[in-house]
Amino acid sequence: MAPLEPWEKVLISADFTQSIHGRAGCVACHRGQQSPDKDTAHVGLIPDPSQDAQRVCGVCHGEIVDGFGTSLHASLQGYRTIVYSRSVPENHPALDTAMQNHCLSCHTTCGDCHISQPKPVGGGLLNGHNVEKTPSMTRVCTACHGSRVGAEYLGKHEGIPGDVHFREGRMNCMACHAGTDLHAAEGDAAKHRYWGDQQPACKDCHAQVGRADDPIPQHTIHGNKLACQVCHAVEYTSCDGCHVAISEKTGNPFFKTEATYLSFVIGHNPWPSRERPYEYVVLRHAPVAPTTFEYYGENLLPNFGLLPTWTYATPHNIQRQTPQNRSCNTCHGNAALFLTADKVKSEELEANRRVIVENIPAAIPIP
Amino acid sequence: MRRVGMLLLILGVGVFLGACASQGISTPTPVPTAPLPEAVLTPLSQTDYCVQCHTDKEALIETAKPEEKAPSESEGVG
Ligand code: HEC
Ligand code: HEC
Ligand code: HEC
Ligand code: HEC
Ligand code: HEC
Ligand code: HEC
Ligand code: HEC
Ligand code: HEC
Repeated sequence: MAPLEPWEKVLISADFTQSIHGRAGCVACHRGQQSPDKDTAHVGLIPDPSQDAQRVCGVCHGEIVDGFGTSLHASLQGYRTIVYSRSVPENHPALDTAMQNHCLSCHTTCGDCHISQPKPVGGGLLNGHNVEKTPSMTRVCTACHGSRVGAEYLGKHEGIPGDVHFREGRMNCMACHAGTDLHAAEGDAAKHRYWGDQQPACKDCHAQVGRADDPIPQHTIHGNKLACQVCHAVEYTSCDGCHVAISEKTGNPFFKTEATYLSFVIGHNPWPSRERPYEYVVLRHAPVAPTTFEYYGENLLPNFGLLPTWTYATPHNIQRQTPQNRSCNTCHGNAALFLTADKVKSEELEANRRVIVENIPAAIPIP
Repeated sequence: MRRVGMLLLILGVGVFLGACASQGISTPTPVPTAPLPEAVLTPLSQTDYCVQCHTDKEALIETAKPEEKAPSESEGVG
């Protein structure tokens, strides 16, 4: 996508000013003041009025705005839940400062999905300020979810095909992630994306899989033991050793990740629950290290060993046929696919104890 | 309920803009250097400078600051 010119980012189409959203007038939402001089007009300007959605959207979209605080896009609670789990309450203030500096740019407002390109790609109106009902997959969703989900879904990694739902089905993100799911989260799902219901679940659309009349033996034999991705995903992104700091030169926050690689790893389910009963899921390495936040203080993650660094994953590169599901014994007896102890860094062994596979499923004797 | 809310908002905003407009009248309004584009139909037929500038590509090209993007020191995939 060619980057927008500075003027293109702020050019408003005349029909917006006549629309239900534009009729109120710019100042009602953005403040600032009437003046022909740009700098004067912009005094007190609020660049993104939907930071305070209650004020500018709430009157007419009260229900959505009321629930929005629970959505992970608004709260970024998923990060906090995980970072706190590896730490202790005394360290929360230092960690909060770090998250404030390094995570806040990913905070997502109504405007970031419906009006402007998200800030991490430089902002700019999507369509002359008109409010877009359906966010654009590439200009909105993968602008933020590009390096992992977007690259997998759209098939950007050399030699690895994109997701069958994209290649064959031409489905966009919204075909599976409905507006209501993104606008609010319920119960445990408000704390972490993999706590609570699967949203969506593959079986929402593939209800026949695993039923008695399913002609595919691999489906009926395994029941709920394996997550679908164990057989239907292919190599996906993992990262190691992210460290964050503030630049001495510019004062800007930055990060460094030690390594990024593609791999495919089956391990035990770190978070089995009624909604996610699988014994085996695919795991990706999260970019965390004991020293990730050391710029903000010493030993800020003293409970590093409590959470696996190989973590629950749902890669977006589903295929009907995969190297591991081609036959029973491309998987059974194939230790290369499983997270065995030798694949885990020694300093992370303790953290990953419960996801490491001790006994890989034995090869099935060919009759 | 929703409709009523909407009406209230539109009315409220009308009052708000009214307030701006009366201020505009008490101070002399600078004469626009270019004729107003036809498309600009302002709510109270007062000059809405925000709309005037933000619908005028040339004006935006003239006034937009070049983007100074501090080079990011981040390394690796975020
Ligand atoms: C209903 C409230 C509302 C009204 C009325 C409104 N805006 Fe906005 N505007 C927003 C929101 C929300 C955004 C999204 C900002 C974001 O996501 O960063 C936005 C974005 C913008 C942007 C783009 C900022 C960027 O870089 O992405 C510009 C420029 C802008 N508005 C100008 C105007 C002008 C001029 C008017 C009057 C014609 C106007 N707005 C009327 C709410 C409003
Ligand atoms: C004055 C009341 C009002 C306000 C304030 C308002 N909306 Fe709306 N919005 C509406 C109405 C009415 C519709 C249905 C419009 C239609 O069907 O064309 C709508 C539709 C939408 C849609 C769906 C677009 C479509 O074409 O169906 C989105 C997305 C939306 N609004 C977002 C927002 C956001 C974000 C804000 C705050 C920045 C906001 N709205 C503020 C009244 C409002
Ligand atoms: C401004 C950046 C940004 C944009 C734009 C964005 N996201 Fe996100 N998204 C995030 C962040 C950050 C999280 C993680 C929040 C957490 O876990 O605390 C997230 C989480 C999610 C999740 C998991 C949590 C949940 O709510 O189910 C899904 C699914 C998701 N995004 C889909 C989308 C889709 C689809 C779009 C486009 C309509 C989109 N996102 C646009 C930043 C963004
Ligand atoms: C919103 C509905 C929906 C969801 C959710 C969904 N799928 Fe699909 N899936 C489809 C549709 C529709 C197709 C057919 C695409 C085409 O070929 O046009 C499809 C195709 C497939 C195929 C290829 C089948 C073939 O005949 O080639 C596989 C495999 C698959 N899905 C697995 C999954 C898995 C695994 C998940 C969960 C990660 C999932 N699907 C989630 C709707 C869905
Ligand atoms: C075929 C259905 C389908 C499509 C299409 C789809 N997703 Fe997902 N997505 C899922 C499933 C299934 C999950 C796992 C949900 C769960 O376990 O609760 C998921 C989870 C996520 C998550 C949270 C997990 C993570 O890896 O961070 C994000 C973010 C996300 N999707 C973004 C997107 C984006 C962006 C697009 C479009 C480029 C997209 N999805 C398209 C099915 C889909
Ligand atoms: C992460 C992206 C994202 C964010 C943030 C977001 N939305 Fe949405 N919104 C969506 C998606 C996706 C849809 C469904 C689009 C479709 O069905 O085509 C949607 C639909 C809507 C609709 C139309 C609903 C309908 O049934 O017609 C409205 C209104 C709306 N959003 C308002 C808001 C408001 C207000 C906020 C902030 C409180 C907000 N949205 C934040 C992604 C988002
Ligand atoms: C143990 C491996 C395994 C697991 C686990 C698995 N699948 Fe499959 N699946 C297969 C195989 C093998 C095929 C047939 C591939 C072929 O056609 O060669 C298949 C085919 C499919 C198809 C296409 C079948 C059709 O009727 O068109 C869909 C859709 C599908 N799987 C969805 C799922 C979903 C959803 C799950 C999780 C609930 C799942 N699979 C779990 C191995 C598996
Ligand atoms: C992608 C990997 C994969 C594929 C393909 C696969 N399996 Fe499995 N299978 C597993 C795993 C993992 C287990 C769980 C072992 C355990 O219980 O610890 C398992 C368990 C089993 C079990 C024991 C079931 C139970 O509930 O105790 C049988 C029988 C079995 N597989 C047969 C097959 C047959 C036959 C095929 C080919 C038609 C096949 N598997 C294909 C991974 C796979």
